Amino acid sequence: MTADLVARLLAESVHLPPEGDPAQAALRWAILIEDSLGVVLSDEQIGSVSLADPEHLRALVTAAPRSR
Amino acid sequence: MCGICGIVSFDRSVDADLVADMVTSLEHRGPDDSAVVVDHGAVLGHSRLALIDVAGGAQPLGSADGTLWVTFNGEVFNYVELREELRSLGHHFTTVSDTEVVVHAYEQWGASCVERFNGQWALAVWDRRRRRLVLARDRMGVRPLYYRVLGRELAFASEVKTLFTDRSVTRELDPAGLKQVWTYWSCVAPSTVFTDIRQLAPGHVATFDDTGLRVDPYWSQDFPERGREASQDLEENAAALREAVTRATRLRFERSDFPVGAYLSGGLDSAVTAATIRHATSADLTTFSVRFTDDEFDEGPYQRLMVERLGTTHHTVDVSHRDIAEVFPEVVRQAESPLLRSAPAPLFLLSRLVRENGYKVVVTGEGADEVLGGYDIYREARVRQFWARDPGSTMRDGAVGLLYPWLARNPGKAPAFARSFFGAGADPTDRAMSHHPRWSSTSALTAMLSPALQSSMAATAVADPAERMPAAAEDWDPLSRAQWLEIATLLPGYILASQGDRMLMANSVEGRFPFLDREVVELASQLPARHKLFGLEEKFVLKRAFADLVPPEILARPKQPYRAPDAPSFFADGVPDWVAEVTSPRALAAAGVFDPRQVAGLVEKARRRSRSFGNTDNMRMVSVLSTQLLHEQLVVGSGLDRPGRLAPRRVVDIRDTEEDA
Repeated sequence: MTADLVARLLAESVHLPPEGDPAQAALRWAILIEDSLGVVLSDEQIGSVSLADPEHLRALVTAAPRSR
Repeated sequence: MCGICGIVSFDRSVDADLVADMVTSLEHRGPDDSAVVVDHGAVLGHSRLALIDVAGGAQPLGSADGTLWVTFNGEVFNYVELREELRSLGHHFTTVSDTEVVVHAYEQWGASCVERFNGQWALAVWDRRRRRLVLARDRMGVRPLYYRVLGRELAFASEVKTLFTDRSVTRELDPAGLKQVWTYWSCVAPSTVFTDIRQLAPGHVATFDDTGLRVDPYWSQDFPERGREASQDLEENAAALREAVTRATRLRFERSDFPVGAYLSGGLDSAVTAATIRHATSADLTTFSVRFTDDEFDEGPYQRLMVERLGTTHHTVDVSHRDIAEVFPEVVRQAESPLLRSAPAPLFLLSRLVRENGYKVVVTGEGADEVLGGYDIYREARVRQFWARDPGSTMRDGAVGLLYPWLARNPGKAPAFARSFFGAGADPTDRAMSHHPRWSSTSALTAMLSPALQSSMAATAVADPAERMPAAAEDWDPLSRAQWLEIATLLPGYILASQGDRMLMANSVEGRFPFLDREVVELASQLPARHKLFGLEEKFVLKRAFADLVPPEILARPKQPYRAPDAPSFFADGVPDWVAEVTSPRALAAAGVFDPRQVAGLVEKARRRSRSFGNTDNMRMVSVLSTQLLHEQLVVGSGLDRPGRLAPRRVVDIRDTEEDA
């Protein structure tokens, strides 16, 4: 995972269609983040994940364990 | 598009009348012309659907010195560029047909010439000088090519029924082939559902000479190591994809001597190809769509949206349950395989509509789901990986609700159950992890087979397609491995065959598929997986690439796989006589495929409540009906609809000409 990839992911995510249900949106984003950045999020992190806050996402990804 | 056939024997002279009969069996694939070329030990046949160079493109076509003869089905779309290259190498052309380019390309580069072709083809070259037959098939398996080897004799044809023209060929269902159908949805080449018949695998060349048959790959699907893709830039990749798809679409729309139409399904892929035609060419466009009288399956409003935006001349065929039931026997005769879904039937009716409106060629969106990550099986695998990363997480249960929002019975309503069902066996190190749920649920259908067939199948080893995946696949993204499997199994075996070539050619219509263009496929395979499937957003880069040409309603629309009503087609609005006939105890005993007691129970259940059938019962019902029809038509019968038709229009006897001229 690199800062560059996080930045790309955030830039690309603006093209996602809006998700009305916050719980579903969090799950969508968690799947995207885990798959693209190779990390594993805790349930607590999944609940708080947001693609609207770059700093929060960078911190979250840095703290999360790697999936492989 | 056309039909090809032939026989080569190193033991005896070939019966030219038999090959003439084979040609007549292919008349639906090529009603415009037909011919056989007769040589010592070899006879080639061809039935032609003339699309390029009507006057000069007659086949089989020989080289100027008469040492090579080609019978060719399909299109090499880059034939103009290849002709220029060959001219610069000293070749002289007497026609403007693509077939003559194939002849010269073989002269110049031998069998490896196919590596330079961008198109959809199955071909045979009789090389008189070397006394060998070369067979080849396009990379993705758009065009079919079957063969039978008996000792030092090989017969080949575009369709199985053509090989059955020879009454000495065993007409028998093969337990190994059936086992593949009831696992992978279709046979995986070289298998077929018939004992003595094989098919050339996509991307392969076969050489048959007096030493026997040798089959070699000339192309295989490849993906980059995860994280090492050439470009990580979405906008750059979207622009490259748009350029490639536009070029591929123009090649397929413009390289024809006849007007080319386009399918509009209501989904993204055909919207992209039709919009590209309108945007990149100045030609008028005629479009064709299937409408369903059953609202659950109809996509009419989305089709109308595209028609209005593009201003096309539009034709639709309204398909009812009864319509599907009525044509289903013919659909199975053309498909030459058991079917698990009725979905090919509306496509048969659609190609008939195309032909009735005077068109012989259509551009369609097939292949986009495979190469650009559009299928639910890819999304399902991603959710299963999500679960597997933290099996103890309860929050992750809810992800199942993201999978199938369009289903009335949304499994998201029972997340823990759905996770246990979909999540079973989600081992990320398993190369076929993505496909095990489908294969497992499909193979459950074998429980209704007769004990004898079940025993035969149990004794039959069927190779797992995942075992053929390259060693490098270990470093691919999981999505790439899933794509590889889909492109190796369902695409050529079902999508391009039972739903594609067969349903189009049954009405003498050629389908052209820009998303299966060599350049598009190779570009798509090099993209980062997230640009294809962005989280769970399918075909992300395609949507980005064509955002200005496709209405937002279609871009934002959740993926809806093309489906048609299954069991209700045969039971909800009256039961056709043929259903009772093929499920009768006599017919079931004759075929020996199914357990009659279970079939009787299933039919009774369908008569009472086919509309409430779930996925498995629908597949069971369609499997029974299609397999019984297949047995009746291609095992008991020969599969020929009109015996005694006209002989080929031309017979070219080259036996008195020099082979080493």
